[in-house]
Amino acid sequence: MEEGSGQSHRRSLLTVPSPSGLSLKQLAVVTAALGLALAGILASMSLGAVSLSPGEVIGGLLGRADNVSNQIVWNLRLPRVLVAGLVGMNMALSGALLQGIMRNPLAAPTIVGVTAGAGLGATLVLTLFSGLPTFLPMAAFVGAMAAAVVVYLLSWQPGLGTSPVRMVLAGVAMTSMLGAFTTTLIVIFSDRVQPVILWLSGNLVGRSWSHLELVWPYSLGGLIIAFLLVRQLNVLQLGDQAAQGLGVRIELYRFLAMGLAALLAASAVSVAGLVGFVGLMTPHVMRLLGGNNHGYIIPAAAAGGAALVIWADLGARTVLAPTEVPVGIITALLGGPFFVFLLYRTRFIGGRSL
Amino acid sequence: MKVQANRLAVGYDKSNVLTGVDIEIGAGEMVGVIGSNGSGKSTLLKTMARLLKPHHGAVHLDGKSIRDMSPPEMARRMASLPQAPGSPAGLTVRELVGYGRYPHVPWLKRLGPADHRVIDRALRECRVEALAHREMSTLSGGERQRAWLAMALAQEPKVMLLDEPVTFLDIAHQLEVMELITQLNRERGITVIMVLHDLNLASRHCERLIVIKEGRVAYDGPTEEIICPDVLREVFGVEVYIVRNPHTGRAVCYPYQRAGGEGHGAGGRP
Repeated sequence: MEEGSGQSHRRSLLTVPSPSGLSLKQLAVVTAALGLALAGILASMSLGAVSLSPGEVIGGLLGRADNVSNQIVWNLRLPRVLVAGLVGMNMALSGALLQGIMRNPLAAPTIVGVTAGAGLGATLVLTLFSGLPTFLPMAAFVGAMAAAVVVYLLSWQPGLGTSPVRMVLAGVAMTSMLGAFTTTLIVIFSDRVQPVILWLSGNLVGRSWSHLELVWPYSLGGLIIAFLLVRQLNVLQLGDQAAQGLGVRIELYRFLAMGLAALLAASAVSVAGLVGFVGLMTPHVMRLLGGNNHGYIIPAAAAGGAALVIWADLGARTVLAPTEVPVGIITALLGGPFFVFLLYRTRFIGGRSL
Repeated sequence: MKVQANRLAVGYDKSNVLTGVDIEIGAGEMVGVIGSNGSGKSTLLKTMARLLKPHHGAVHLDGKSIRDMSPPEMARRMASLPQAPGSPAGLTVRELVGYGRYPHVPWLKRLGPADHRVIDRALRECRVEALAHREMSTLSGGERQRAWLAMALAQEPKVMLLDEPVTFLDIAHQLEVMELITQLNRERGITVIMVLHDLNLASRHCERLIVIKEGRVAYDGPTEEIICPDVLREVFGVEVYIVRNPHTGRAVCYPYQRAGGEGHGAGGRP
């Protein structure tokens, strides 16, 4: 009777669980993404208008290089690359959470109205109150959260609770409505449109330590809470009915995950503007590479999102130097073709989640 | 475990889908719920699983209202499988069956050795042991349904609610899955309540049938008394010819025309 309790079945090496519960392949993907992010940080610190050697970067980090290098490393490049990393991480985590609870491959911060709300908030400040730029992050954050709350309430049905489909539909409706308001403001205040366009396409120009302070608490808290929700997210993948049959408080966990996703996305867009496609794309890439287990998806999306935005921002600074391309344009340029690929792949794979 | 529904009234908006439903199912019974499309049989099952909240009345497990149970507490007593459940890409059979332990494992705890023994046993009893590390998407319909049953079994429930567990399967797999359900009922003493579309499967495998018509319990009794021309004419509006299968001793029905129609389905003609 006892032989069944061991796990002595034939399995390939790559699927053997490691002590962390991840397979070696999944661990390799997470490690690679982390490595990519770290390499991106180093590259971002040495490349730019002034190229610094690795020695100068390290010297700058330690405060031992010449004054200019110290300045560039500490006050310009390091905070900016860290903001880029955390923005990418938050957006990707947000997308992973939303895709998890909605079981919809299109779910992303853009779908639940978060980014459109942030866009309207930011546009309001940039057009009507253009003298108060310090309120920009707050306005974007408030707009994002308000939109998320409205979408949640709209998707609620008395007696039945929320459903993923209603959430997506309410989110799409909100997004188009808020977008209409934003466009109206842009048309009315066409003389002030330049900063709005820059903000709406997402950019990290001149991001400093003060911006980092606005994001990191959400990144840290979000990552921890997302890890605590792994089991629930996994079971919710089976569908509401099956999950409820297993005793999951689906309404509670959907609310928690949605709230967390909204906070993560709101904090990211409040400092970086609408950096598109990161939230949608990163979790998908990670799923393709290592499967749907959230114990893997959460760290993989966090590291992958960070790596993506770090490298995209490096591209944004250097591709057309001295002109800066908004980083959101780079991520969207990567995202479009990826989406086509995803569509192409979906035709041949019967998996439900794609 | 005894399952009772007392004066249930359930509806989606204001109109009731079920009204005045009284059912009592004893521990270890294997009961089929039948009825025509839209009769309310799935609604009944969903209400018992607490997916729908009744306007009136309550569902009790061994005398305790399911409203007074926490979701995990209820899931430790009752497993319910939806019709044609879907699973995310990449999910293996063993992972799925492991989810059955969800209501037993406290928050932030991992599956322990005892949980793995339960999972192994469920895999074995549902004969999906050899498939444990296969992905769900690579399985046949019958194998997949056995894996879902193994998940439900890993919950160690006293009651299983199954919504059309064999509807999308071919005849061989239908029999295989029904035999597995019968085995779980007999050997584990699990009370099984299942919605079935196929009257002959219901007749073959259930001792008792509950017939739902227009939101009410129209008949409730031993299978022998339900699978007969009079009842089926009233409930489904069809004339049936009943024979006895000499291999099983069970009634088998062949519908041959709609009741009240003259000749062959005359009602639909212009």
